[in-house]
Amino acid sequence: MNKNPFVTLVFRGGRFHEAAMPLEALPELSAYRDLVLAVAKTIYQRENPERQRLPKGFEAGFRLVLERVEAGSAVPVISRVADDLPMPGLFPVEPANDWFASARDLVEEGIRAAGDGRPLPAGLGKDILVRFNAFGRTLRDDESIVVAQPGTRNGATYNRPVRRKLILQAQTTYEDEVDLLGEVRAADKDADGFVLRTAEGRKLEVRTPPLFFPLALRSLNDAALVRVRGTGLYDADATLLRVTMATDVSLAEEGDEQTRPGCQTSVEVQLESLKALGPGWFDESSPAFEPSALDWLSKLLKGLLDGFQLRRPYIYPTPEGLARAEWSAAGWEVVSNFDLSTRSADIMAARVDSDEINELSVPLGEPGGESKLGSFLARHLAAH
Amino acid sequence: MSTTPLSDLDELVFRQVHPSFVRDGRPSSQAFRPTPKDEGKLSVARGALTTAQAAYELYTSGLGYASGGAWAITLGECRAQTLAVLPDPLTSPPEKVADPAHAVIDFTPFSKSQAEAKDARMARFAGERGRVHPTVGS
Repeated sequence: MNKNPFVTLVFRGGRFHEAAMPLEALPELSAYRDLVLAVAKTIYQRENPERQRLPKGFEAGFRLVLERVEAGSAVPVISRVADDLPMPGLFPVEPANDWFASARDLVEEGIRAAGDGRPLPAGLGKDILVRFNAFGRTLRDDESIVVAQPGTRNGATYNRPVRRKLILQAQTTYEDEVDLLGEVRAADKDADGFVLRTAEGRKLEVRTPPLFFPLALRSLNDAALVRVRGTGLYDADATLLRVTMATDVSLAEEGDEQTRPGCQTSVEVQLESLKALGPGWFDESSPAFEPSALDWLSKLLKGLLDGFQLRRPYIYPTPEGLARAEWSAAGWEVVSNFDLSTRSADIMAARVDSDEINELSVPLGEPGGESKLGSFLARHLAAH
Repeated sequence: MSTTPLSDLDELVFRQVHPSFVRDGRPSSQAFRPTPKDEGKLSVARGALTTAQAAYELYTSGLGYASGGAWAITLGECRAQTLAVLPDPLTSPPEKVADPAHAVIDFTPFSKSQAEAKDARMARFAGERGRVHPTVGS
């Protein structure tokens, strides 16, 4: 048996700073292996249209092992294992017809093309693109995987936006992880599911194993807040359509109301979409946004969210050129309009079940401004 | 425009939301606020006289405007915000396209702060109901 380096996957950002592989990210390695294998099968079938079947042992002959995790972010070194005396012609390893190496290269090129905004390689058909659903699902907004040739660390960067772009080339929906808080509003044991009402008021169908049914019924009867983790189906606008399978349903922890994730899209990605708006995006008078001003707002919001443990807002442009952050909390609707030229904010909190309104204007360039804003938001987003 | 508010509290009215005012399927509350040129009157389409799909198509194909979808609120939810909904059927000419289902929600009695609070609550009602056309996932 011999081993040859096959690929280097450089896990960057977030959880990978300490050069360690968090256990929950390990499925990415087998998902990568499955992706390459699927691509290799497709390449083989394309090059051998007369063959009705794959050669015997084709799949079993592709064995990848994790040799070690190197430092410099988390860098798992993946090697391919081959028997010393392979049956002739069974697992071809010559460069000219090594379908697995070709598949590896095609995956890398596809990722690179998607990241650069170029057309995808012709070899990446829809049947292959859907396979990206399983690879990268555990990545967070600030994380990426560099898919590099063996022995190198420079390659194609695979992150959530690239993954989404690849999958949406093949279909109108994609799967991603979900982590939701809400109350169960209806349950159907025969359909293996329940309806969850989220903090934002959306009602979502959740498919779940029977194991979690007792807890779902408890939430239904007692209006208990539950946390649902699993896989969700999203449309091209990143709208969560339903939870296709819950892998965990548990009672929410005390204080979870204050740490609800809010908008699923990161602040950075939301503000990037504002940068893409040109003059006249709404009407003839609506201006474009100054990128540096949005970068300032990005830093401000990230500091506020971390500092005051706030859920992530939904961010929108306004026709007047303001950036507008909105939160839907249990008892309040909170809106903050950021004037990017004066670096100030006007915040309004409207109680949902009465006419009560609280307002605050904050010059953010002055000492204490950010604290005032954060305190106001924390007070209303935590209240019921 | 009639000055007599519509009174069937179960009737839905549809509001078209600009694509940039939709984030992860959630409509911004500013979509439920009249713009300065609206002079305090927010345009909606009456559910008793049209459908969500027809209202969406009239707005996009008929008038050529961009819409990220139609959301709906009931007259009862407007009433709870002390907002009157007035029938305002449009004829062609002078309008480009006739719209017998057109109506307006009257924000004129309220201050800017009051109006902003009301449209935030209305957006919440609409968001909880979800996009009515195109329906989510279609």
